[in-house]
Amino acid sequence: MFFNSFAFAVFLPIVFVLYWFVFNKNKNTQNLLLIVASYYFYSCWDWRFLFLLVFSTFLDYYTGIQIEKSQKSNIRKFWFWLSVIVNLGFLGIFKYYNFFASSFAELIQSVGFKSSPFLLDVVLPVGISFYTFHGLSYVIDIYNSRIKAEYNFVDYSLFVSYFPLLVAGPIERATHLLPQVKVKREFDFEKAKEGIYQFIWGLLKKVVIADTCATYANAIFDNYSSMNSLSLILGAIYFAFQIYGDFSGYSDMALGMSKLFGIDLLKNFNYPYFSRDIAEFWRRWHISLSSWFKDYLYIPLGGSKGSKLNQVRNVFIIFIVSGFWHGANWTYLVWGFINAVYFLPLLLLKGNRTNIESAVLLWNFASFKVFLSMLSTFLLSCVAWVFFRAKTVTDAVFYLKGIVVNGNFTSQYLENERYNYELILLVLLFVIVEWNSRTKVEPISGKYDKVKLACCIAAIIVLGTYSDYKQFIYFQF
Amino acid sequence: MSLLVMVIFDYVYTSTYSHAFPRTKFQYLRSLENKRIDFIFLGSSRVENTIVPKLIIDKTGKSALNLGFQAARMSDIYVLLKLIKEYNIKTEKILIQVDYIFNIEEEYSNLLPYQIMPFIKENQATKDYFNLHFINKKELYYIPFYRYGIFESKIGFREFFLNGIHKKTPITENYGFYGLEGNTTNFDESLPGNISQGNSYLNKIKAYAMDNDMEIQFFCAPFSKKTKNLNYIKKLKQKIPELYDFSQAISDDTMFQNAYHLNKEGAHYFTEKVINKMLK
Repeated sequence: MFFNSFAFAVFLPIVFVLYWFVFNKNKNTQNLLLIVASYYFYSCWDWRFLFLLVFSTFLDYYTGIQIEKSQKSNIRKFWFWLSVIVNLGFLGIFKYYNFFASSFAELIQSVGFKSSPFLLDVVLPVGISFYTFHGLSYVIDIYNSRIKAEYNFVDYSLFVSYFPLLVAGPIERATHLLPQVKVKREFDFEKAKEGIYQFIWGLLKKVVIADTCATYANAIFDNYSSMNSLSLILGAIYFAFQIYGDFSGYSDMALGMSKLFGIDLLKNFNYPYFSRDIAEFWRRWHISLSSWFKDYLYIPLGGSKGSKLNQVRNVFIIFIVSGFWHGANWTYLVWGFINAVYFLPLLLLKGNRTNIESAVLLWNFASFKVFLSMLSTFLLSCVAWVFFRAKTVTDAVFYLKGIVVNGNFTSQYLENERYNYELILLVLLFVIVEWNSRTKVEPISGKYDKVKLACCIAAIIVLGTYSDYKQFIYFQF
Repeated sequence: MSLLVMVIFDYVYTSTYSHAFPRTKFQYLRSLENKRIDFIFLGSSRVENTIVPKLIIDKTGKSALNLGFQAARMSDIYVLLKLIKEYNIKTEKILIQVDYIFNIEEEYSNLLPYQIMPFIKENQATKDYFNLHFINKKELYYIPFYRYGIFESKIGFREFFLNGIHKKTPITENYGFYGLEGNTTNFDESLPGNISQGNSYLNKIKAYAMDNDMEIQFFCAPFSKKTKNLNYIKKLKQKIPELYDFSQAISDDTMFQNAYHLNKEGAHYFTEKVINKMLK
């Protein structure tokens, strides 16, 4: 059941009505309803993986309590490592086992030995990377005495399995979400309105921007060896907007619908394509994952303290692990590595915290420099996205080589029966709308909100893509 | 009220598609009603990317059309043959590309269904095509406008709008040919190891052509020499003895975009071969 499906359009109102009109007695009834709805939502993909979700919930709930109760440090350590190993073990088996087994076999074969690896014929459980990280952050925080363990199993279950964030985040923290589920939520009309606006804007980003860009990006990437330079450049740009529209659209929908239930989720995107350097980009893109890695990997490794060599090592580790989190493929590793390389000059020149404030553009030379830095950051991210999107690293290299050596910048008719340039206007319009609303959560609220809402709904109906690309890219992670 | 709106929308969309300048191959085929096209080529992308009608027109002085559809199967070719008859298009010769699609009975092109969809009620051939592939989706046929909603990425508002403003595509300009650029590094393709006993649509094609006095010829377009199981085409030749076998007619891999498809240079080279062997 996808957020942009007909089934969800039926599911969400039913849960909303039951939540506010039937199960509104106290927070326990509200939480129970949301858990049942969340488990139903998850089972719509594959009910067999529900056991994994329930097991993961129970494991972290129980180990969290045991860590808190244990007086001796070695017992605390035991429960902590038990949780970490089992959580990462599941992730490793389902997500990474085949990658390591086949990569090892290829390595063996390359030095002349015969090898036929045993590969698992399993589907990756939807959202496993997200709810595993949820649970891990909870257990790590208890182990480090940052938070108290949660003794109410229902409240804890909702923290892990809350359906708006269950399959693709944002990756919540116990300090942010648990206090909200521990109190009865009262209906707030203004908050619900904000939620609807954000949901509609997210839906528009998904079905109008991302899925339309997908038809062009796929036609170009799947036939890249037959594409000219202009098509290849546009393909990378279209994919950049596809993945942004897809994932930030999903996040907006998740945050918006959660507001309908009176619960605020962590902001996941902050107009990343208006970043002036790659450090700013990573403070604005998939914020909940970036901050997770910062808090639970980068800082424990030493962060930006210690020798320059250690700092460089830490940067490469965090970006490569972040790449690997996305999927078991060399393309993601290289994507992470490239971002680390982009980050390196900023680290060495101590420029990674220079662009903290929001950018302002005026009609002067300083603004022109800001504009150029935004453009160059965007183009750098597009180069990295080529590796993210390509099937193999070789494909990505040839794709980029094609841009340079082909030298043909004419219009080209694509496999999706469209010209390569036909989407530029829509993308530009989207950029202008985003720029004008960059200080807000979404562009609908404010003056003329009813008119803007009507325009968005009309665009969703008229320009939305529903038959193809229903799935969200980040569901596979 | 909703039904009335859907009926009106259905009418507006369908008539716009019907009267637009042809943007798809199917629309192009419709636009040729009661005309004469001397040579029509049918098949998959191995025709679409391979046969250059302009060259044929220049060399022979006769008209030609490339009606290759991406991932077209024998069932698609059979329907296209019927459509040629239905639109009363006179031909001298229809050339049909057959290869591993001989082994496939059930699948169909990934583009032709969408292109036909606005016209499913137009004639018996389109109705037959619908019944063949969408027999379990009768609602597409009977509920007004439903098909435009379901296949909106292909025939929805954007395509309707582009049809409405008569935005052209290279389909008519190149007479259906879609040339591929460059070379890929991946020639790792393999033809099937075994050949099917037969293909029911091949028999239907032959019977239909005979009944309607259409001259048809079968040919097999080139494969890269790196393609595995090229022996399959020898087996195919035993099944279709009249097949013109060009499967190994081009040994220079720089003329291939990938193992199964020629690039533009290769397409021109091969089309010359076809002219000399089949059209003179």
